[in-house]
Amino acid sequence: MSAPNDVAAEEMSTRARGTDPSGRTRWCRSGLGRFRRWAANEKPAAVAMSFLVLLSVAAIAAPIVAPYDPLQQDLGSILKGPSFSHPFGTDELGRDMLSRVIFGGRISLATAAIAVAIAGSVGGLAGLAAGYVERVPGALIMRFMDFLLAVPGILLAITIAAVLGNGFWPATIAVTVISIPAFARLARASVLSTKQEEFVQSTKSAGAGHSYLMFRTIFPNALSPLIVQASVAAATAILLEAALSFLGLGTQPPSPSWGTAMALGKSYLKQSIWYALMPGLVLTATVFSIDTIGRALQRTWGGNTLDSAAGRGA
Amino acid sequence: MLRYLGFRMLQIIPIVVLASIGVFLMIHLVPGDPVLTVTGLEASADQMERVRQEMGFDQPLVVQYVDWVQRVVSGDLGNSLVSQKPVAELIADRMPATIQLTIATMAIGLALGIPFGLISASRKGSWIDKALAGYSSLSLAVPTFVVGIVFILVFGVTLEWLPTASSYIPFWDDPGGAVKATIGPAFTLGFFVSGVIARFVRASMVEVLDLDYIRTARAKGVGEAKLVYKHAFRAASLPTLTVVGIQFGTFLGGSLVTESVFNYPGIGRLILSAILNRDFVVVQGAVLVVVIIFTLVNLATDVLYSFLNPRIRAGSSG
Repeated sequence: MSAPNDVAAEEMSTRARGTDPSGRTRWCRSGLGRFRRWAANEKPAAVAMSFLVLLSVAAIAAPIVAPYDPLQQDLGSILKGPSFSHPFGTDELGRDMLSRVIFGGRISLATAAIAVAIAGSVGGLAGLAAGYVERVPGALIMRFMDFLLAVPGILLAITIAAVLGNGFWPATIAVTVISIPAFARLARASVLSTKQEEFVQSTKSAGAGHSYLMFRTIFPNALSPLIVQASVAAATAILLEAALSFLGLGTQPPSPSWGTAMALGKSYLKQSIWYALMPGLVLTATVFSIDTIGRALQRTWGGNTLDSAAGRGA
Repeated sequence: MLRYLGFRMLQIIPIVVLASIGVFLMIHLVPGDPVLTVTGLEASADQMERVRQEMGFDQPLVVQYVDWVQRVVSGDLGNSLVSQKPVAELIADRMPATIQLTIATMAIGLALGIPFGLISASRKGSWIDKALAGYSSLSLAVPTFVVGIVFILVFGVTLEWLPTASSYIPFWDDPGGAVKATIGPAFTLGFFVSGVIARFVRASMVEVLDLDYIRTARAKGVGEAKLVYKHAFRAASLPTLTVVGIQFGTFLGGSLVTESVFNYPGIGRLILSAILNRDFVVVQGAVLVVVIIFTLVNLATDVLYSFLNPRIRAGSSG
């Protein structure tokens, strides 16, 4: 293979990515500007992103930010409504709900981050392999993914949690497993269509090897649907974790998970509506924000993730 | 058509086989002695020995699996550890409640979702389209247990119109009572489904309204209402059918979360209480039945779809 060919192929594959050969540094330098322009066009997404940043910072810095220790009981003021000293009210043991919701955010966000990172890499790689090697291995991978999709998500999650036991890790593993097939399907579809593009064909005819073609040429160009899917998967992961905890199969009390708090609060609806309502509102706002960003990304990059959002079930 | 039907039937075999293997292995995957998993920790040595014999736990796994499949095929899903009742009977007891809830849910979901989707598609880009888009995003983002709790809060606790815990009253016995008892969980699930349906109806309507034959009909002077509701919706209803079918199949398998919010005695609560009681024989049987129902409903949806849309008959799945 002669050097000029190689350069031409490289140039073609980068050009298709929407950047020029020296584009890497230029893209970085203008990254913030591009983000600002995007945020100006997608105002609801910008608001949603601010909320998520705020929530993440609060969750990470919870011991500093939270006004009280989430486990500290105060039997003198139980099941109180919102007040200046307890903006989200208190629970049946007089614990500050705002602090519990902030600490609970750690569980939700950690589950989402772990599930998306692992399911995205496993599913993405499986889909890449299945799309690149279409024959027997590809078909086998996809049939297994079909099987995972053929079982209602929450049922599969609950069965996995039942086998593994209760707690943060069983719930996170369950949520991760059921997030994999959507990534695999999307990655495969995206790889199949990218494979047909001219720049891939020319890179191939320039003599590029399989791993170069797979990881350097095809994968970067097939990535954007997966990033959109990551937002859907993150929202679904947070919902499912909360649902598992609500059912008593996730993180156990006294850990302040949002789902657990709502399940406990439900028993005290007659005494205090705020106890169950506040974690529910924050949970809803979080999922809604992630969905909003996902839809904005979808408008920017295209791609179809409706199916997986619809599969959240109940 | 027959060939397509046969092809689709063959496709569900590996799913059912894999599901049965997964469900069978469940008892063995739970950490600890599988006999204890089945009998519970307080079992006597006698009881444990009996279960070990009955379930054939001393046999190789493959033999156990074949035995188990033979029993399942003959309708024997084993006995519940807690109530000692046959699992098949427990499932059959709960099924009518779940079927009634599913029908009510889909009725509410379709009654809200289809008009919302049609209105947003025909007024694409208007404020009402944006408001309805917000509605469907919200319905997908609010967890069912939040909707359920707010519902109980408003209608059960504050207004006291409805009971705070729901129950199963067959519609044929007492229509009024059945509506009162089912409306909570049905609305909670129906709200979620209506968002899904509205999105699909809107998306496929927008696509169809752009097609040539609609432009032709419009040029010929067909009224806008007739155009949208008759000409376009007929074509756009096909993709919607698929999503309705999938939701229908999902809810027939019981809604674990919503049923437990309202204490509604369906399949979902059966599975959940079995899991919480570690009654794994019930979990095994119920999960297997639910997966089979879900697969069959999906098959029925596909067949119906291809029956209504001859272009797809020879289709293959991706």
